[in-house]
Amino acid sequence: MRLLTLLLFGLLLSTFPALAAGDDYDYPHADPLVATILGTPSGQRAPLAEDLPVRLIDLEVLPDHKVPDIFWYNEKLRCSLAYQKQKAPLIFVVAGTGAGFNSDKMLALQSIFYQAGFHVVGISSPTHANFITAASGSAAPGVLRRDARDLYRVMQKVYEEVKDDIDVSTFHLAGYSLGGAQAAFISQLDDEVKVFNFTKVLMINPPVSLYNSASRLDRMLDENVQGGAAGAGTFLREQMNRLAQIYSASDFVKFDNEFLYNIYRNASEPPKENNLAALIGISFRISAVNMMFATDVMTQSGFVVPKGAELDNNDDLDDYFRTLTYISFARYLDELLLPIAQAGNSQVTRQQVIDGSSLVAIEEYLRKTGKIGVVTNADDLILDAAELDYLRSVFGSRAKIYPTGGHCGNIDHQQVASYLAAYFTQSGAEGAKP
Amino acid sequence: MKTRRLSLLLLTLLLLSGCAATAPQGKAKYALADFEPPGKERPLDVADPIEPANKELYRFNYYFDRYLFLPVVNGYEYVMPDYAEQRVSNFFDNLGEFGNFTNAVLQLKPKSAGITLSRFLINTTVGIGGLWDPASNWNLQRQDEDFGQTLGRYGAGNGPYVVLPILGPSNARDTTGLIADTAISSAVDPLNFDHNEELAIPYQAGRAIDTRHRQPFRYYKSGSPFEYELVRLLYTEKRKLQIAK
Repeated sequence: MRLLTLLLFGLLLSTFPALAAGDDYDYPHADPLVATILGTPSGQRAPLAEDLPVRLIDLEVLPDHKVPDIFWYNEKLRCSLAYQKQKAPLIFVVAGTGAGFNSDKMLALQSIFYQAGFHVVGISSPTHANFITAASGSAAPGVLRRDARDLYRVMQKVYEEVKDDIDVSTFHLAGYSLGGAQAAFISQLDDEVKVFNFTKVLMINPPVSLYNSASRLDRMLDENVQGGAAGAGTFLREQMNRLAQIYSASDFVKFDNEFLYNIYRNASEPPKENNLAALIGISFRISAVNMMFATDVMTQSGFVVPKGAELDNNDDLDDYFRTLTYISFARYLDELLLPIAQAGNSQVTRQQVIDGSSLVAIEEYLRKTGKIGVVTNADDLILDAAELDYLRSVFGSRAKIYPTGGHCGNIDHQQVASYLAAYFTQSGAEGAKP
Repeated sequence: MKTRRLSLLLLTLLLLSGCAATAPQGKAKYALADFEPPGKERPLDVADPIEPANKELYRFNYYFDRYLFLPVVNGYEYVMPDYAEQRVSNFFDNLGEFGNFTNAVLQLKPKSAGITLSRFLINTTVGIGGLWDPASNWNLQRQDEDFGQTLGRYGAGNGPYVVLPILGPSNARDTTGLIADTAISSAVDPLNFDHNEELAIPYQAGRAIDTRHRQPFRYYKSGSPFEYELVRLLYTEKRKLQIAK
């Protein structure tokens, strides 16, 4: 009898994990910088699906599209489909800034949604070089409405490619970080064009304003690395040397996440806040460098690559990389994105570009639609207090805000993963009340 | 004979890659000089004097992978159950202990050498010819040592970065090491290939397939314009760590 009760209780928990997640949330890292860098410790991670059936898709998105020699390997857009054998709902997942369809977070989300019974299509961020070269109409990401159109076209092409092989009952959409904000714009577009008629849409750790969030990440580099971008190389060198010292003195054989997590746990003093912030800032800058280089080459803007220079596979790119590490996102917006936008329409102002990269631009839609939910953390690095309140006020009960987790650090934490899956599996779930 | 063909290939690639550059028209808005003085220290630089040839080989390896190596590896993975694949990997790892042992001794690391020797004895007997790895469960972790690390241990620098055909990222020191390790393994000759010549080729082919099967890296998979540069840096740092250990 007791056994039966326990079993029922267990079943109850697994059916309504979203309800269980609130009170006893046990994500371990209270520091958002640590959470953002280290993610979830392996013991608390949602287990990855083993041997899930994945089909990799090389997609021709723009017919008659000419890709320069240097991007010969990026002619087609690479996407993935994890498929169920039976009829099932399909979730499109859009990656965050600079991330590909197969980044760690994407693989975690793919696994979470696949295990919950969904087909999962993974799509690289429009800021990823492969997307910029193969699938972007403008090759200059950052204007969310335009990014959404690019993504929407990709989704239709992917579905066209796989629809004969899988049986889809209904369509959902999710995205993390920048991909989350883009998902909202795609949802609005879909409400007009009605190709997929998304049932539910989920934004995971989205920015409210891309410009604000990017500027915040820019500052993490500028303010925490001695000498700013010029000192990034020296900073990384010092950190790697320190790690090497610890590693060679340790008993660990493998240099991996477990080793890194172990040093963190056993360190005599906590890591310096400004070093952690610097690491995040540098990592964001490297994503931005990849993006800016692809944009510059594809648009022939003459930003760091001279106009007319036909780069080739074997050319030395070091100086381009190095030069771009000095360019902040604000500068990208002012000096690369804005001129490209103005070339299409000379009336466009800087403020319009900034406003267009913010959820505020579609606030009315977000308030009124019942299908979009948001999951984020109170200590997400890319949001300030006002922006967090903004999400609360716009989404109301459709906002799920965890106290800790930093920026996407808890995405694969068991409780969060259960919530993400439950959001889509429960019809009329708490997160999706109109 | 083999090495001569290799150097011919390298030379051809060098010559081919020399004539690819196209003269740009005009200047870009920003150049490096706008942000930093010319002689600025570059703490993460890796010496890469034959970069164009390396990049060509990097691309060659992609095609080799795509049209030959990976299809073979995929076929292998398709036919073999995971369980059998693991036995094969253990088998080759066990024979690799000869190299680990020799290099641990050369680096005067008695502890590593001891662990490696115990691992070999345990895995060859209890682990039935090395098909299983009980030693790891008894807290005898594999000690990866190679002649490149031995050279590094005695102060040899990286030398220029080299992308080897099929084998991928390396540098002058590690390529020398690779040749030495090959010589060591053919001198030890644990499977007695001297008298079973017909086994040598299947053995090498099997080892190559097993190695690629275990290596998740795929050329150009990141889609990043700077993947080559990143791989170059990561390879160099990884070797530095291995040598320091």
